[in-house]
Amino acid sequence: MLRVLSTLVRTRSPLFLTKTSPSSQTLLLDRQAACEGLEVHQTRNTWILKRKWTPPLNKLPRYEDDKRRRHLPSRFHVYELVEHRDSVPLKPLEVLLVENVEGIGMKGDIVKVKLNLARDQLLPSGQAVYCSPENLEDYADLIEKRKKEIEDAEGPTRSAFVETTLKYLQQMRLNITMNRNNPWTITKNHIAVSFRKAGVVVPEYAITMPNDPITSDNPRDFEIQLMVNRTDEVTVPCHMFLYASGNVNRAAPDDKGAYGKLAEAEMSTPDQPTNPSP
Amino acid sequence: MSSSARKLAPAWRSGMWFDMLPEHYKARYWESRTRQPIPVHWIPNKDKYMIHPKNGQKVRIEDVPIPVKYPKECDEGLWGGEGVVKGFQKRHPLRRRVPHYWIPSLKKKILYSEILDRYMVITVTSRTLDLIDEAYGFDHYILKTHQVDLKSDLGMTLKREMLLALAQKTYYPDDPARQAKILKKYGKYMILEEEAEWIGYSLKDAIIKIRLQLDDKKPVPLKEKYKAELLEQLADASHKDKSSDQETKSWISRISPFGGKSES
Repeated sequence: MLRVLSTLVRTRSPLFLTKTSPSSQTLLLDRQAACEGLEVHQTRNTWILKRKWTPPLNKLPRYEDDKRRRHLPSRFHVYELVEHRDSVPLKPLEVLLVENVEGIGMKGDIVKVKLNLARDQLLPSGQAVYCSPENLEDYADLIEKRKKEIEDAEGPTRSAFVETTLKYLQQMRLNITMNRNNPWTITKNHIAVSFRKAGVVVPEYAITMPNDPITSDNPRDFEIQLMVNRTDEVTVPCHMFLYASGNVNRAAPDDKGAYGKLAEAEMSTPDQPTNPSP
Repeated sequence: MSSSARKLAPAWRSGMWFDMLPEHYKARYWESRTRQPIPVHWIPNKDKYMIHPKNGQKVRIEDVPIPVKYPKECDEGLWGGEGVVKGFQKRHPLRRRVPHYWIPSLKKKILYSEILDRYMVITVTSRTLDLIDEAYGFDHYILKTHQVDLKSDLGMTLKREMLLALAQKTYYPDDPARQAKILKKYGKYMILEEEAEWIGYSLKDAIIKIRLQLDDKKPVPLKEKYKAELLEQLADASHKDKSSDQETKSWISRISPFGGKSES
């Protein structure tokens, strides 16, 4: 029961790989809210004007289709701006997806997307169609199929955000900070906490640890396996950082503590990256 | 022709060539001249009367449309009924009014027509794009919108092409499934082929068209007919004569003993 809830990576909000599996509807609602909030930018639109001074009334028409009007002097062509939709937010457009679109939705979903995305990308390429009554009728079986898929699924279904999440996880390198002085063994809890610090919420059951345990006697870089939606597996490299705060009793130079051992290991393998990822 | 239409018509618009035009064209022409377009640059009043703010009396109010200019460039794009408004601005109560032109902001967009199966780069305004979304597609927008509101030669040309394609069923000839889909979607806009080929022509172009059509149907004068017949006969005769001459010559030369000498 694992599902990605939101992928607002750019806003540095945390990625959730939570145990509670939100329905697809929540996902869509989330996206709509995000899109409504973000879609405020300048558009140049129609000028809507009105007269500054109201012209005197014309005579009532004498016969049917009497089109005669009085001649208006220049002062009645002084106009004021009623509305130039210069900074009116663009309303998001509702479209029906005909194909799976990464980061947007699955086939048969009705989603609200940014206006320009729909106009420039989704609609011309045929990935989506307008939500017109005719289209809804034509693609009724597609929509029903998708709804059934969501309802009937015992476990989680593969959502449109899986690809984005996988990409994000593949490019990241997890920094694990541990105490330099006290003895420890790394558990799944440590990994989960480190992920949370990096902005990703991961449940412990999704983590697969390496076979040989990592302890304070033998600190080293290692790799863990992450299961996303129980369908996709990602390998995330982890990097150890040894840390001690405050008034530290530094280890004697001849006594090779955990830090000394790690430094040695790094020296012996110069290929390994030492800089933490941003 | 209605009475108002007759008033609008200058003398040459009710002339010989105009009367020759098909009835459906004439009806559409007069409608395009008399119909009021949907207001774009001003907001019409909701009511005919209002309560005066000071004395509380019922006062008549009326719509005085703001005149809009349509430059020739609007025929090369789809401006969605927008145009140039020419007027004045009063920027300061103590300063003289300043002339000002309110011009639409244009952009080029790639639009796709499903019936014509064609991608086109067209100059549009934001309003056009909004209207296309409102109509659920480019083809629907073009076919649904009246000539008066479309306000573009390009739009009317596209409309004619689409209606002709629908009438002649020239869309997707190799794909019957898609053909049925198009017919279901746009069947409600279908008109007769004879009508469709006249859609969107200006009066000048329509008159040229009818003249060309009538030229083809013109009866040939009998003079021309007899002349042609006579020429044919003569051609035949001369041909026959030639052949007969050759025969006679050969026959004479065969009989006459002096033939050869006289020739030499």
